[in-house]
Amino acid sequence: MMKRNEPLINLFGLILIIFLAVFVYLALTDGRQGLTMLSADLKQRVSYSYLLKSVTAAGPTENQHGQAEVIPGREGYENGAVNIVTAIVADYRMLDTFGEILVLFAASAGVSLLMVERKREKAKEASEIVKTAVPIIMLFALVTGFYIISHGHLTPGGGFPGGAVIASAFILQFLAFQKRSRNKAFKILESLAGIGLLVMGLIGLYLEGSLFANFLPTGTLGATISAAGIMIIYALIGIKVAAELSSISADFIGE
Amino acid sequence: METMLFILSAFSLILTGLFGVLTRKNLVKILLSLNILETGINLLIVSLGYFKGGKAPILTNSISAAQGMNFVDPLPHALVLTSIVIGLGTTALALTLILNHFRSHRTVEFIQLEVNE
Repeated sequence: MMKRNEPLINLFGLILIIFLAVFVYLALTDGRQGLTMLSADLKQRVSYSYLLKSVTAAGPTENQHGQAEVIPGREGYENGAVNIVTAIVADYRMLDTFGEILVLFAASAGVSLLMVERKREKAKEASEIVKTAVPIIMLFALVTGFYIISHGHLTPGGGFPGGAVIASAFILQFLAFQKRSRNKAFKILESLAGIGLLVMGLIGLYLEGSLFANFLPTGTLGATISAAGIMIIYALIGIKVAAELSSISADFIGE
Repeated sequence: METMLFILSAFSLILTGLFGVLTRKNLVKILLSLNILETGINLLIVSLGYFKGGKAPILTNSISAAQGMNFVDPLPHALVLTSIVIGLGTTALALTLILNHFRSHRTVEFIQLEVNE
């Protein structure tokens, strides 16, 4: 009975999709809304104050130095990160990121809860080549992950990609050596990082008056060790993401 | 023009995903379609901040924020970063649910539930 209806459902879906496509096309070409949204000037957007690092300064077009310009090498700019995306993720909109981390935690906890432990049939052992190569590759992956996390305020990257790279090293280990004994350590590490993030937010609330406000020295803009608040927050996020992804994949592999 | 191209490809991805969600019966295929839809939405959000010749929003000595402000909009990038991570978490959770469904019914397709009266 199901098989007989299949072409009809496909046809219905296709008609609906074509209808939607025509609607979207008309809206993009005829309506004013889409086109004005595309050609909007950056100076009229919220991002302009992020780019100038003038979110808490007096005017929307001037920063702490009273300029409409941000010069790397100087001191005293908001949060001190050169990478504006990092500045948004880890400082200006940190509450969003905290919610995202909570969602990731909920997903990880749900996977652990729903993945029923089952008697596992003995898998074939990995070959000698794999067993020799995996520790070397793991080392490189860990170093790359730490590099990406620690340079989050300077270059593209940060806690989430770096954490994913570190987790990939642990996935390799699970696959090659077939053990998931450190699952509990991941959970503890993850909880500690989460508590650390919350403590950072509360200290910001106590000292600066708003949740996750930056209370640490910002340093020289563009220096390797600068933007202490963002570095600490990204390190905690990196630990948490790495532990969560590792424990999710350990659940899937050990299933 | 490039932005228009980005938006058209984003919408074609979104509509492809929507078609898959509407017509497939295999749960894994529905999940894949949802992921395609999500990719399209991410592309759409990023392309709203793009313009031709825009630089990555990282301040350097040669490009500071004053020189014509030729950065792309950094806010969509931050939002999409959030969206990608959440998409990963939900995909993992959905795969677990599909696995449990498979264990109890021995199929990854939708089934008609039999109500015992």
